[in-house]
Amino acid sequence: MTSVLALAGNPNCGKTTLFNALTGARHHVANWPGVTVERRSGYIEVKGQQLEVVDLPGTYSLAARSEDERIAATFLAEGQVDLIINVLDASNLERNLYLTTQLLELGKPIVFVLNMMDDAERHGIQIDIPALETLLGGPVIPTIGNRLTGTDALKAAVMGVLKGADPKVRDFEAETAGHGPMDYGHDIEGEIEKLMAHTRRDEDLTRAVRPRWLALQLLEGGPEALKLAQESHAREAITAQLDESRKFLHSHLGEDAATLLAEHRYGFLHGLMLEVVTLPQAPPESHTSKLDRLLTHRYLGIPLFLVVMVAIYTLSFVLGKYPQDWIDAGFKGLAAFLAAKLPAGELTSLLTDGIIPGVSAVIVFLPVIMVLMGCISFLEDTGYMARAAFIMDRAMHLMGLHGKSFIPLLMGSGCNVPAIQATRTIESKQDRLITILVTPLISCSARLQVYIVIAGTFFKPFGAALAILAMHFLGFGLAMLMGRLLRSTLFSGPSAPFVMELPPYRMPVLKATTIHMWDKAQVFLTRAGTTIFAGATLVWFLSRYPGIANTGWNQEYQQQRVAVLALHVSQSEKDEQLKNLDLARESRIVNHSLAAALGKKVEPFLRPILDPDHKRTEAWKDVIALTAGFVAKEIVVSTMAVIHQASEAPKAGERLSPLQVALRDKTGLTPLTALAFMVFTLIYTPCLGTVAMIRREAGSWGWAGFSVAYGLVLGWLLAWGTVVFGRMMGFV
Amino acid sequence: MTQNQLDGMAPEPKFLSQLLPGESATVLQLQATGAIRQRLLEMGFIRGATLKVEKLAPLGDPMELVLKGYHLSLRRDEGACILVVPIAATANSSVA
Repeated sequence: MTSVLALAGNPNCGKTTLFNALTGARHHVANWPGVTVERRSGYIEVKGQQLEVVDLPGTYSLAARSEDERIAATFLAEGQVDLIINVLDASNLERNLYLTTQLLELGKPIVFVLNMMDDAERHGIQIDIPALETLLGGPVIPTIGNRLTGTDALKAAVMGVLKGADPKVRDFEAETAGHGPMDYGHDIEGEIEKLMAHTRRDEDLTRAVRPRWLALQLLEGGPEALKLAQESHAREAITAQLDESRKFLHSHLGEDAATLLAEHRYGFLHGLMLEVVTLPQAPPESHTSKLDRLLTHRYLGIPLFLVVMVAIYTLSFVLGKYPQDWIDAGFKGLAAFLAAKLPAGELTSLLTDGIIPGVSAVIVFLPVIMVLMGCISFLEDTGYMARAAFIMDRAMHLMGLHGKSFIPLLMGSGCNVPAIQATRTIESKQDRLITILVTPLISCSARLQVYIVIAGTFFKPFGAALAILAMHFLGFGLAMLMGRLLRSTLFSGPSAPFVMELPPYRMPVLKATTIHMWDKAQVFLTRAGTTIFAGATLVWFLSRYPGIANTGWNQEYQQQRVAVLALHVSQSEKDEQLKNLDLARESRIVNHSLAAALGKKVEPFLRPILDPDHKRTEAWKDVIALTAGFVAKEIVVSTMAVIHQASEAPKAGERLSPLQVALRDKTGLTPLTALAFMVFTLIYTPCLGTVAMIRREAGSWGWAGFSVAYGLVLGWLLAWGTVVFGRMMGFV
Repeated sequence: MTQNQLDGMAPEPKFLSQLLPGESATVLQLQATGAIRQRLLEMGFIRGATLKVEKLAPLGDPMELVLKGYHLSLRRDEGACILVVPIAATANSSVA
């Protein structure tokens, strides 16, 4: 039989480090059913006994309302938990023990881990461990900060308690005639009794959760308890009693029940602290205070924060670019090699134009995801992430966002995909969703490549630079507006409280950062990778069929090839001609593909933007490029090169590439419609990778669909606005 | 009530958001409701708890507090729901 151990504790108490120390890399990450909160669990074996360790989301209380905390509360109260490991930060014991007072009410075996003992000792805090064991009624295992020296002692204690062989375990129920270690006083205990009398009538309910726990949670207004009561057949009696009890307590004790319970718990803890903890007379100034004098300094705080941001950005997107380029070049080389070796045809094309680029489109994100997630995990573990939120919250709050939204938004200008993954650090679901939905508006480096080609074609160098800069400002401004708009419409409920702990600075463990990076990479590959791959293959299909299966064209192409090979010219001349032949064939296939048919259908909708005078005959080709750009925005450029049968690489000594010349001379785009095209490219839809990530992080296809839809509408409106406004100003 | 009587009494309650960096106070009452109230309670904002305003963020909001030996930050909007009684530092030291 496998016993289930649940790790419970406040955020920042070192729970996840302990989890890593217990399970090593032998764990897996998934989501809790139906929500986007990560569930990490792993198996270990101690003395032949199989143990499943579940790392619960950090929580300050079991009555809290945030998604993370509800999961922890439900799992602990109802789940098949055999033993709770309650991790406590010794340097912040009183507040950490608040959760403990609630855990004790669950009536399940608990082993306490007193973590960060070194921190406590450095601050001159002395803790009487035997006294604490007596008061909490269970073994207390001291561990030292991040090195976790007590792991073996912890395993031994867990086994002892599971076997019922630990003399430190107190049976509060027997000792105190029913109520647990906490006595809430005559009035409250009386109401608990009355409530229990009603809930006990429902036997299923009594089996599911401990009646005393349920009564306390009902009084406190815990959402899970209220839900359980609503589902019970005794709900009317319970609700009536609950109303009566609350009224009675309010009139007799002058406060609502939740406040009274919290006051009693902190009262109990105040007494406990006096008995167990010796605080120093004059506490030495901590490292944290010294560091914070600099890092959250009134004038230096923001510049230092920006330095940190520049460093992370450089690491992720400048250094991360190298492995990205190698991966890209590697896959391109592989595709070219196979294309040369294999006979031209549908299967080869599926492999070289469909599958290989599809896999490449997934793998290419890995370096930047791992580096950025590593940096963010590092910032979180040091405690700086909370300071970053503290510094930026005012500015972000104006945008309807949270202080922690800043980092995803900034990193979005490198790549939206890891930026959306980085929203995980935002605890409140509302704030996270808004951030996820506005991040795609931030112009990323892939879109920059499109701007460079288009702006370089239609504007003088200075004007082009201005246009490109304008796109970035537009993206940021839109993110700000949409943030406010979403906050006041879809997410108009009260915003989550910004009651955020500023934990002490700590040195992160390299192992934890590495495990975190690996987890994130794994999650990306399995959850988002499949979507990206499927989407890339679909776009390949749309842009190749039916032309690629046209035998007539294939024969024609083969004959032309043979003809070229038979020419009496130099090898380089032949290569040049063969290249042109390939481009011509590809161009023909794409221009007669399903995507082209789609483009012709969709083109009328985009006419006000791309072809306001209805003079262009080939505006539908832009639609093909935009469709292909859905896979990744930089593909817009390479697709245009194929459609217009012109190379992207400029010839020696010329400013414009053949593609740019073709765009300028043949397509009928004007500087104004080209600008509108850029605006549309910025907004029209997040790329496939981003959509896949939105689905994964927002937890539903609904939000992913919403972001595509609002992108299309907003992009159309703004591109149209660009044309209309531009014409009013006299541009063409 | 005369000025003399006022001097002999505890300072007037004010909202936490009105405190300046460096000032201390004890919690008198939470006027927040719902999720915010619950969160404040479990973080230790209960009647009689002592807190100190450590500093304001560089942009003036949120504020950093020390409560029960740990640091936390709070938006000033949220501070405006917490009624506190300032502890007059100078008065204390003159008594001592």
